[in-house]
Formats: sequence, structure tokens, C-alpha cells
Amino acid sequence: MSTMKSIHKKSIAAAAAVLLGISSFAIVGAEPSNGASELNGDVVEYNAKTGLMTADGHVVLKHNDGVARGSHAEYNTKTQDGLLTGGVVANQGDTHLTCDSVRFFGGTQVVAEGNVHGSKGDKAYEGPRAEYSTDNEYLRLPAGGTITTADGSFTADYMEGWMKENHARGVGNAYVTSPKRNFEGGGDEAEYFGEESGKVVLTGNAWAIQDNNRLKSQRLTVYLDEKGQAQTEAAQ
Amino acid sequence: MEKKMKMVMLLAAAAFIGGIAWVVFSVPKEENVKEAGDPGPRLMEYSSNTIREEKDGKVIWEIYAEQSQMNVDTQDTVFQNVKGKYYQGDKLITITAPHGVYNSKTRNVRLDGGAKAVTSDNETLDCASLEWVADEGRLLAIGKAKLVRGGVTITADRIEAADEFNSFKAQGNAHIVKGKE
Repeated sequence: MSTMKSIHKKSIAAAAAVLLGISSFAIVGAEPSNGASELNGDVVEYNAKTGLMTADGHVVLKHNDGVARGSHAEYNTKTQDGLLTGGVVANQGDTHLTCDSVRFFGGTQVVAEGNVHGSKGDKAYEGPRAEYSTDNEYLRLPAGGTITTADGSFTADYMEGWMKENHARGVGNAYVTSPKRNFEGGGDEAEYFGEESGKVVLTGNAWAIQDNNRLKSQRLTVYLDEKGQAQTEAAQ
Repeated sequence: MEKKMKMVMLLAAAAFIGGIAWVVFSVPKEENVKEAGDPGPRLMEYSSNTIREEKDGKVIWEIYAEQSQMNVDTQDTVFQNVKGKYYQGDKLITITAPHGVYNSKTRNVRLDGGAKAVTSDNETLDCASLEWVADEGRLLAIGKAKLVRGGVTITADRIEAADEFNSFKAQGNAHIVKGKE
């Protein structure tokens, strides 16, 4: 069970990191922290009254050290709402993202949609949609997906995470696996409380396997200490 | 008698041929006719002249030029060392260029040789040539166009300004920068 803490914590953090990377592209209108923001394309339009910028054809968006490419971009310098569509490829440092479209809302929310593949370092997210709010550091994967780290992966039909509280939840066919540590577990729901001794609660047809140890219950609570040891409580 | 007759006939033939040759070779060439009939464009030259376009009693633009040359027949005008004022709503755009052409038929104005526009809000537009398309109410900056407006800089092969210098369309190597460049 030693991996459960690391998997949950790193997994949600991985998806958040990817979207945080994306959100830093929120972009031309946001006051650049250390330089200019650029929007390039075959055709670029700007309306100073509305603040709307659009770019079409070979769109390249640059901000700080980040570069995002697509076929169409919109950005409103007044509302800070933005959209990048058409085979989006974004890179910033070790953060990479590909998807069909990315939308920015007010500089505080980012939504990536359509074949979303994101990675940061050795962590990655794959799924149909990812949403991130920068103001409350809330991550939502409404159509689920798979988050992968060097330790293993976490899959569920619906996932969400509260980064400040180090709290994450996966609902529907929640499945955690760590081949490296020979661990896997699952249930209808998996919830991780990082601030409560690394508590992981698996509920609804919960099960866990590590080495030759098998547990099955309606509710499994696993406490993970810093040494990677696990204490498990099972309740019917 | 027969000899005399032959001589007369030869002389007559020679005179006839000579006459034809004179007619053929004495016809003036076409260019000479033109030169003779068309004295060329009738031009009027002015120094320190101003022309303006008005619509509904409001001045849309006016152009001052150190030297102007107007074709009296077409009313087209060529300017040297131009300084123009272009009124867009409450905004005044001052334009300078070393050379310009006014087409009286289209009422379009084209300033070239390196044009620069500065608005009353200190926005700038630099380009190789600047064209006012009268019918469409558009201002086109063509060739290495660069617009600086507030914190936004746009560069492109061509920038089109409309809506009282509030709306811009950049085409060809279009590049927009917000923040320091």
C-alpha cells in the first residue's frame, strides 16, 4: 500500500501542473510577468474598442517561455477570455499539451477539450476534457481520464482535486495501479486526503491488492505514513 | 519623232514615280503627328498647396504639399513632401510622406516613399505606402507596416485600419505583441 499516497498526490498534481502550465498562456492580455506576449498568424485582427484579437492560419502564441500553436486564436484583452483551436500544441518548459481546443476564462479558468494529452516531467494526463480554476486551485476532469506518474496511474470516470487542501476524488470505476510497487486497488470511488495522514478512502466494492495481500470491502481506508507503510481498515 | 515620243514617255513615267515616292515618303510618322497634335498633359504646378476632401460639410482629409502638380484634364495630382491630416471621428491623424498621388476619379490618395501616421493619441503607423480608399472608408498601410497603439504593436506586410482607427486587420507575416516588444 505504500504507493497509494504517492500515486494520488502526484497524479492530481500532475494534471493540475499541466493545466497550470496551460493557464500561464493566458496570454496576450494578461500583464506579462517578465516580457511581452505575442500572437502571430497569417491574418491577425485587433479591435481596440472591444479588445478582441483574433488570429487565423499558422497561429503561434508566445508568452514568457511558452509557445502554443493552433489554427485559430481569439483573445479579449479586456475580459481576458481566450480560445485556441485546431490541433493545439503547447509547450512551456517541461509542460506539454496537445488537444483540439483550449479556452481561457477571465485569466482564472482554463478548459482543454478533445483528445487532451498533457504532461509535465514524468507526469501525464490523458482524457477528453480537463478544467482548472487558478483562483481556488480546483481541478476537474468531468469525463474522467487517466493520470500517469512514474509510480503508476489513476483512472476514474470523473475526477476532481482541490490543490490547496491536497484533496482529490475519483468517482466511477476508480482504479489505482502501481506496477512498480506491485500494488493496485479500486472501487466505485476513491478519495485522498493529503492533510489527514495521507488517508485514502476506497468506497463501493472497494478492493486492494499488494503483493499477496488482498482486501475487499464496501469501504477500505488506508493510512499511509511517510515511510510508505500502510494501515488498512475495512468496514462492511 | 519616235525617239522624242519615248523620251517624253520616260520623263512622264519618271515624274509619276517620283510623285508617288514623294507622297509615300513625305507622310509624317505617327509620333510626329501626335507630337504635333497632342501637346501632352496640361499640368499646373503649385507650391505650398492644400487640397481637401469633404463629406457632409466635414473635412475627411486634407493634404498640404510643398510641391503639387495637377493634371488639368484628369484632375489627378502628384505631391512632393506631403503632410496630411486625416480626420476619423474625434481622432486626428497626421500623415507625412515624401511623395503622394491623388486620383480624382476614385478620390483615393496614395502616399509612398515611406509614410508615417501619428494620431492625436500618440499612436503611430509606419509603412512603405499609405492608401486611403475613399469608397470603402479604409486606410491601408502597405509594406513593412507597423502599428503602435497603447501597449499593442502590430507588424505585417499590410495593415488595414477602419472604424475610426480602432479596428485593424493585419495580413502577411502578421505579428501582434502586447507588452514590451
